[in-house]
Amino acid sequence: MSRSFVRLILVGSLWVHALVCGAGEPSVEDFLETQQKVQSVLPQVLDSTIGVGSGGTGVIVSENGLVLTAAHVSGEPGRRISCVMPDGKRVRARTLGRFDHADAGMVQLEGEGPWPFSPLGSRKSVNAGDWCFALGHPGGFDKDRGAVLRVGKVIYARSDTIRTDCELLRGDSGGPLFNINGEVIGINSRIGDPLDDNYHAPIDAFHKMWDPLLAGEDLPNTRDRSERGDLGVDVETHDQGVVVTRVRENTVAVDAGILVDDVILSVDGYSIDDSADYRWAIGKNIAGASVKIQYLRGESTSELTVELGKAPRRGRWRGRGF
Amino acid sequence: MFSSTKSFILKAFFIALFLSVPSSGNAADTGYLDRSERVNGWNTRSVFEPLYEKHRDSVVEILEDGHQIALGTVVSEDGYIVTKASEFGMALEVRDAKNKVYVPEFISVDRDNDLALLKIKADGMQAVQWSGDATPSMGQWMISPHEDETQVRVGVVSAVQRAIPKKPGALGVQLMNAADFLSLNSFKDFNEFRLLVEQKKRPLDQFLAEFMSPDDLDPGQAAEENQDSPGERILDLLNRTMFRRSLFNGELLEGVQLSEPTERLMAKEASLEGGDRFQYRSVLNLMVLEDAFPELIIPRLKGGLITGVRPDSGAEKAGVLPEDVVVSVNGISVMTSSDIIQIVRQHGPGEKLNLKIHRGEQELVKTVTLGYFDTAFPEQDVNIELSGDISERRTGYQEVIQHEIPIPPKAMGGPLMDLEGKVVGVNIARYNRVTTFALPAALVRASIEKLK
Repeated sequence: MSRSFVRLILVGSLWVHALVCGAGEPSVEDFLETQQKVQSVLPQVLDSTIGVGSGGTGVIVSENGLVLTAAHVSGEPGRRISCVMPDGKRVRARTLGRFDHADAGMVQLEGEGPWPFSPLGSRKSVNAGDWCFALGHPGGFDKDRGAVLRVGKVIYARSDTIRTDCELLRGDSGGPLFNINGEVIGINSRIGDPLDDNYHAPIDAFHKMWDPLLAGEDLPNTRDRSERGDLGVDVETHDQGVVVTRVRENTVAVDAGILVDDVILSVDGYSIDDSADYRWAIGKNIAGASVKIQYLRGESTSELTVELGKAPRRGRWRGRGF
Repeated sequence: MFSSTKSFILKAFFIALFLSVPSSGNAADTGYLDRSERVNGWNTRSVFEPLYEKHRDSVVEILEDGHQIALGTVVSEDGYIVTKASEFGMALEVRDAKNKVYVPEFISVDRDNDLALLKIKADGMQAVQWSGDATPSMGQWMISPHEDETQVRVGVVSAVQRAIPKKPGALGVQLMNAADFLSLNSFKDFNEFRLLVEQKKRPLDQFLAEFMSPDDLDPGQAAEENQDSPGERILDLLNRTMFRRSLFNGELLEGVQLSEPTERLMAKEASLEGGDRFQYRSVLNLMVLEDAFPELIIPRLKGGLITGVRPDSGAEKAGVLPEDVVVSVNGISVMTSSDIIQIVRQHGPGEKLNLKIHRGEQELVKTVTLGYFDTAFPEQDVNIELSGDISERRTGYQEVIQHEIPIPPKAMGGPLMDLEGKVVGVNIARYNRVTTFALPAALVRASIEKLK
């Protein structure tokens, strides 16, 4: 009796273990394949990784010299700065727009192209567990050393940030994060204390703000809670998009007729990929501002314009109990 | 019999359960990569354990007073071991993979390459297998033992192979020109200062009036109220009048040419805090004063005044104190703090300098061993400040392989292996929170031949 019970548990646990193996158990071959892919794209991506301003990094993404970098590296739009090519040659450049919320910035090289460049990753192509690699000039540009490589994995990807275990240093800021095919999927932004606490501005943020960034716009950040506008709904990120999970009483959402299970598609034309997107798109407005919300209910897409209310005052205790 | 079978089965169950834990953090399910599945997570790096296990016996611990200070790499069957030289004194032990402890014979040290060769009395040691002379390429995976040498870590070669020039050394002190700080304090009293100015046929009040607004206090009255030392009184006066009127407003004094652009001085002043700011301001005041009155001769002292000594620095260990005045370095007499800095920068970390010091009436000689500037002033380099443990010596190598394997300073001296288990180098310096340098195999082997 007891013996068969133990046997049952053993079989059961082995079955679970088999499932894990099926889900991609790491292997030396996996590492070697990654190495082969990284090394095959390395010469090209190294050519396009440049020093930006005083002590930052950037990556050229077009033949005519458009550079992606971090907003905190490019700084104010319209500044004149200097960039350093991998061979040490200095090139004048002008800062374009910045998007502080995601730490995304653009710079335009001046002078004759064509410039060596790296291709961009497509929208919504980054997933947790993907191999990736980062380049940058930690501690500043050093011609003898060149750009420094870090190979790692995506820990998670959100609309406003990608976290990886590619270990970054000061000076890596603005440098590119690539997928295994050598496409730019992020821009090095900031680190925390643990070695796997490395954050990158996601390429999706650039894609979505491409035109305003190119036009040199300084995109707004979310406002202080005291003046921030609010719709009055709670949302969660699901597979189908950003879903309304609660409509709070006495809010503009009630009057506007927003219902639980509505999927928020866009706010003022800015497409909403996850709850971080939603929080920014609403939170950058002051209370009283009018916003246009596109949403999906069942099969049909509708649009409404709503005047935002005031954000509720923060409760005394928030967060999850556990 | 039954109970032992049962315990075996239970054990198997626990192991299986343990292995199955990562499934809950599987990336595809939750969009979050579990810690164990990251590049150096235990589940991921476990794929290198069988490979490392084969070479485990070639790695030993280097102990000093019973504590591990580094790893060593076994380079011959008869017990020759290389390790990082800069980490230890002479009282050493070696502990092998079977936990046997030896007292090694100290063969020799190659200071240039920071390598030491030891020998233990043992036969049949497992020597490492060196790779060929080919340079490992950027992006190639490597493994190395962690500080706990039963564990292995993985990372890529992260930059081109190259030399790491020696960095200039640092005393670990903050300095200013003794003259700049002390000359104002060298007036016996405020009246002496007034007299000196008035002798030059420029009444002090008239001089100050040029820079004062009617709101400012009457300087004479302020001086009488203030019972501080004459120098401080003068500084106070100048701070409240000239300095504010000139530099704070961002305008040059009329008819006064400063020797440095005002903007730069202001930016510098704004970047300083507390005592540093006060000192800098007093220097600026002196410059303004001298520029306004070229005929005013202010007594000058020679040498560098120590205004701060960094904890754990060479200067602290040598007993240098704040307010000491350095008058000569290695027998070369110095007039200003930049004279001192110029001499120090010609020497590297680890070198010794003799400072002749005036402390009150005493004259002393202190021998200071130079350290790294970024260790003494970590706030000047965020990459060092954030790094936690880094190696004491980490520059001045003729050729290194740079890699990103996360291993601490106590893992230096261990082998850097490729995925065939061949040794491509010996880890020689943890440089910052991300970077480790290894000496290439060819260099290590040449050094061993010299040392033997």
